[in-house]
Amino acid sequence: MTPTTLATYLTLFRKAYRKQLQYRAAHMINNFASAIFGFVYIAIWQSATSQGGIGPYNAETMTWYIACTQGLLWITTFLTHGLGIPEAIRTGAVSLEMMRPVGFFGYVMSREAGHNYYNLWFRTVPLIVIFVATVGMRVPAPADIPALVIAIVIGSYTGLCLAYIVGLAAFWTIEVRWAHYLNHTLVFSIGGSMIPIELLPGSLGPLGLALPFSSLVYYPTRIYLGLARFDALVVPTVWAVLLTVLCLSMTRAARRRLEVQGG
Amino acid sequence: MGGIGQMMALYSRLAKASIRARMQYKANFILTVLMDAALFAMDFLLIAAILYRFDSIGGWSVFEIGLLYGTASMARGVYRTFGYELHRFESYIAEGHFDTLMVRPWPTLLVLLTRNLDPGRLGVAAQGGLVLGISCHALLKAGALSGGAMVYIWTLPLWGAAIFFAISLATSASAFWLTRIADLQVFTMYAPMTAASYPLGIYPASLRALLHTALPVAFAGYVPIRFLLGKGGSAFDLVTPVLVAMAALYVSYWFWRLGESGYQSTGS
Repeated sequence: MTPTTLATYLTLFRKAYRKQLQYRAAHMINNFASAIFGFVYIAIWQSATSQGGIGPYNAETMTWYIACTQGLLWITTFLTHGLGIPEAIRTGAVSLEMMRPVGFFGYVMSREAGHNYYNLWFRTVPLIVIFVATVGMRVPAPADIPALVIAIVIGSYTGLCLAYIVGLAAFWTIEVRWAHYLNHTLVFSIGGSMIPIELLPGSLGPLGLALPFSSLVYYPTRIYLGLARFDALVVPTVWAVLLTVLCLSMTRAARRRLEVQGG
Repeated sequence: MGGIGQMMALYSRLAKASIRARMQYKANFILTVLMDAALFAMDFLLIAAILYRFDSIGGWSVFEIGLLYGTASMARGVYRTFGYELHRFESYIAEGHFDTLMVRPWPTLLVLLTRNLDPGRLGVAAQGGLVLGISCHALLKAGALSGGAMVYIWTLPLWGAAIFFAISLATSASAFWLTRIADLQVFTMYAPMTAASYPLGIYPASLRALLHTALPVAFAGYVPIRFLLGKGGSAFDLVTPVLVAMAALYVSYWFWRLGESGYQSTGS
């Protein structure tokens, strides 16, 4: 990557951040509504574990678990639908975006990363503050913080890659709403956002632990709870590399598929 | 202005046209319906997975929660099918399209509702019906539910949909003053509809109070079902869904008319 390309990506990142900044008042109201979802799932877990938990998961740790995943969803899962690619295909803007002298993958990813960086400060952090003030949250051990930060960065990147793949699907089918739902469904079910993956019945547990959806919120939350450290980075790192390769090769295929219509 | 019968005829004609338009891309339609239903089913599978490891949630078994979840999902699916345009009313005010509703010789709400229906949302209702059916069957077999109670429970989604619709109408009407309401909808619609799928007794007192008063989703299922399962309440609880639905519709339509009467177009 040349310094010029990097500067372009940084500009895109900053622009996306500034664009979101205009909506921060509305998002603050939304944060209180989002917190209700957290309270609902926390209430469910507190009630279920009132007679005793399983392993490390009891009423207290599950409160922290849900509070943490609810915050992380905003920088891993609740992204722009297909990273804006389906919309660009519908309007035809995608042809211009693909013509640009910067890579399409980097272009789309840095734009959404700016959006995510906004979400970190105006969605995730306020939600965590609400949970700290209401149900209380654990302060992570200082020794765990390096692994936690790396896990969150990888999780956020993996979430972007998955949404990018959903977006690219629009090159082959008109509607990608179903792919978007599928991605969310997998994150919510075997991705551990509502239930620790190892508590899932049967083979869903081992399967969930091995798939990329666990990188988004589950592994970072394990580290936050002090249940894992750098060992929890193995699966996410492998998937981040594999998904990057997949995204780049899909981009090449999409480029060949692109037909510019009209003039 | 025509009578009720004429309005119903008009509604059904326009609604059919809208559904035909929706069905143009069949494969996409089916995939979207299935994935949408799967996403919502996740909420229930989460409960099933938790109860696979633990005994009960707030004293409710998986099938008992299935009654709450099933009625709430069916109500939600019905509301989203018929209230599709109401749900995205913000764009009418923000982009000035509301004027186009006012030029027709019909109530604006009727014209709005017929603009678009979303039969795809019936997938959510169908999976809710499936959960409700399985739960009713299991509870009937265990003797926890009588046949009469089961018939009553199957009428609840109708009143639940009316309550959701009323809350949505009031939320949309506030767009006459606030313009942007998408964030308000998360607070008044999405969060309460999700909360109504579980036993409300487990929530903090303030949330419980909210769901029994200003956002009365408690009456869409929890209040009458709690009584039917012998978990408290009185026989009066059985009529509350109808009473609350009627009152909520009345109040929210009044609020809609109030907003509409003060509406001033953005002009050009």
